[in-house]
Amino acid sequence: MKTLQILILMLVLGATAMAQRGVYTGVTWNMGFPTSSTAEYIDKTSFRGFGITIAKYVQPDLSIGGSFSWNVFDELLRGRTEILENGAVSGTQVRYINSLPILINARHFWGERRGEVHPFIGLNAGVYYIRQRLDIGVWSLENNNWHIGLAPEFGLYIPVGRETYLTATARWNYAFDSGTRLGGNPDNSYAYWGIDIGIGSIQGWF
Amino acid sequence: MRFPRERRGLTRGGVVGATLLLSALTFVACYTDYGLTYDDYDVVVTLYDKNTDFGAFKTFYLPDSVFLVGDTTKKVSNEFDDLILSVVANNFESRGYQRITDTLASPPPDFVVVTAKSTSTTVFFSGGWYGGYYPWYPWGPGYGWYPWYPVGTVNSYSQGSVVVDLIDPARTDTVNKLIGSVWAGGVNGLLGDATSNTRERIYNSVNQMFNQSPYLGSNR
Repeated sequence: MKTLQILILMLVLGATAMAQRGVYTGVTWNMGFPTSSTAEYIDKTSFRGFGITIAKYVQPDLSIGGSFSWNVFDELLRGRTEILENGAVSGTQVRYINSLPILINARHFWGERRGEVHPFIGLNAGVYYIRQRLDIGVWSLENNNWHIGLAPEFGLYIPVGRETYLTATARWNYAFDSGTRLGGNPDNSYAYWGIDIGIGSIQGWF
Repeated sequence: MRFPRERRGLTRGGVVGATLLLSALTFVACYTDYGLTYDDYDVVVTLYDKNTDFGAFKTFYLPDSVFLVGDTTKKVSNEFDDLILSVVANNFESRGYQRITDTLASPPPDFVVVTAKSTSTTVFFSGGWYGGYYPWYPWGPGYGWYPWYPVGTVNSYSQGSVVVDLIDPARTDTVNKLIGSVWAGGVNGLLGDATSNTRERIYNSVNQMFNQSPYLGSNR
């Protein structure tokens, strides 16, 4: 874990320090709101997550880039009985989903001048590495898979300095059905809304 | 959108961002410590044969011993045997089944209830059966119960299990020396100290076996 943290920190510091013209670098605090089949497993909002985005402006109103993020969903369920096909099981459950999307993205911006609020819409595509875990009693059941995923988004860049912007993004994450399934789960796709709030820097003149 | 003049080097935004990221990385952890207590680790599993008409049974026989299974070389306390037997008997009786204590009774009981216990640092599993047969009574090592999902990892805590089986004599296979179990309840939990309320946990868990088995009950 510490190695991962150091690598990510180096990535951000390096990207920021060596930023070139028209390059956006940003970090976000990511919240997650499970929907559909994800909500059936965990319906509790996640306030634990972060993201890194690096993008290059290929036109004044269009950036192409990539992002890495991490959302942790978890929920404690006490006194729960699961009905099985030929029985039942009861006990305290702790459920987890760790979602790690690695996505490329394109964003279209509105707003002409520096110092303005710049709304945008975007589309992300890439892979999601999802670690699903169920703890019940002394057992830990894990199901880890790579998924193809899409994430349309919209948001705002709000200027707070010469090069610095506060960012707010709403992103609907969808990871397609893939790999093995935990127990009798009929659908291994994942979906959640992400609200990402952060800070970014745009360096260089396009 | 127009961008500010090019300026190389770490920006103020970058510093703030990196600080934010550091905070985020500290904040994010894969798994949460919920501060679970002993009874949070108690799991009750019940399995049954869907082709069995439990309402057709009327009488049962319950031996007055809780058998030791799994690692039989280990000393296991008998402190809770009476509790296990009484809770099991009360639950069957409250569901309309009549307990028979005479082993020579005629006609013989409709089903036999067997209780077993085990302590172990690993969970013992018998493999993928159900609606099948246990080895011929009394059971030896290898007997056990299993959760409904394939097991991923098992933590190495000292554990205790209580298993209750409802045996249908009509399904006895005398050729292969197997007997049929049409309902099984299992409790698995951590072995604790006096503060872990072992007696209360056993009482609640064995009752839970029956609470989550609403199909048990005599119609006769």
